[in-house]
Amino acid sequence: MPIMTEGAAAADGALDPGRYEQSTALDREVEQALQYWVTGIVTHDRKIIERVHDEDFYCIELGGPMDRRTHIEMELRTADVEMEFFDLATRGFGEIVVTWGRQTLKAVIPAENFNESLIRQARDGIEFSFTLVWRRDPAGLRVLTFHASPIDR
Amino acid sequence: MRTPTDEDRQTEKELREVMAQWRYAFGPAKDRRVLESVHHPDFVWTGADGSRMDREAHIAAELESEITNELVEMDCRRYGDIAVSVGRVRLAGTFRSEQAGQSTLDQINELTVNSGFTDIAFTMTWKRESGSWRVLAIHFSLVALGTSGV
Repeated sequence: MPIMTEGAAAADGALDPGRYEQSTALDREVEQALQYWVTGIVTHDRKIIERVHDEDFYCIELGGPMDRRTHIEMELRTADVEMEFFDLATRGFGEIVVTWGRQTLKAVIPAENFNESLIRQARDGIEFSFTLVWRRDPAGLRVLTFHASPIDR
Repeated sequence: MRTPTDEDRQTEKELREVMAQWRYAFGPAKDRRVLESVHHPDFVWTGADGSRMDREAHIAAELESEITNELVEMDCRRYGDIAVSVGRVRLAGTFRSEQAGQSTLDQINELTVNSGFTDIAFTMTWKRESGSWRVLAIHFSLVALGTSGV
C-alpha cells in the first residue's frame, strides 16, 4: 500500500502550488503518519489505531458522522483493506496540520456502520476526497478530524 | 470530542458572529470585501462529490448564488490560533455558478427544489489572524445523500 505524494498541483487543479510552502519534512511526517494509520488498520492493531485517533477525534465519512470510539471499533473490524493516499497537499500551523488529498479504499467494512450501497462500493473499490486535520503531540501526529466525500464519476 | 472548555465556547460564539456576517455578505449584501476577508488565502472547499474549489472560485460561487443558509447546529474546539467546527447548515435557494463543484451545487439545487431545503453536514477549519477568524477549509456532505446529521 504505497502512499504517493504528487503535491498540491495535482489536487484536482484547485490548489495553487504557489500558495503552499512546500515543506519536505512536513510532507514526509504526514506520509509516515498515514502509513502508520494504514498499518494499524491492516494489522488490526488497536494500540496503533488508538494512538492515531486524537482524544478529540471526530469524522464525517461516507456513512455519516462518527465519534472516536465508533470509528476505532469500525477500523478494527474492517477486513481485506487496500488503501492508497495521493494528491496530498499539507499546510502546517504550529501544532495543527491540515492535509487535503484523495484516497482509494477497497475493503470489507462492518455492516452496522454503513448502508448496503456503501458496503458494496467499498467492497468494489471507492475513491474519495478528504480533508484531514492533525494535532501534533510529542510522539507525532494524531487525527483530530477527518471528512471524506466519494468522488463523483 | 472533549467537553467544550470556556475557550471553546467563546470561540464558538465568535465563529457564529463571523458566520452571521458571512451569511449576510453572500446573501442579501453580495459584499465581496467581506467575503474576501472571511476566506483565508489558502482556502479550500471540498464538496459532497469530492470536487474542490479554491478561494476565488468559492467567492464567485457565493456571489452568484441565491442561497440562504441557516446554522442548525455547531460544535467547536480551539487549538491555539486554529479552530475546528463541525455542524449542520440548512440551505434554501439555488446556486447559479458554473464553477468546480458543479455536481454538488446541482445536487443542492435539486434537493432544495424538491424539498425546499438541503441539510449539509460540515467540517470547517478556521485560522485566527490579527484578531479575526478566517475560514481555511470547508468540507461538505449532503445529509440527504446518505450522511446523517451531526
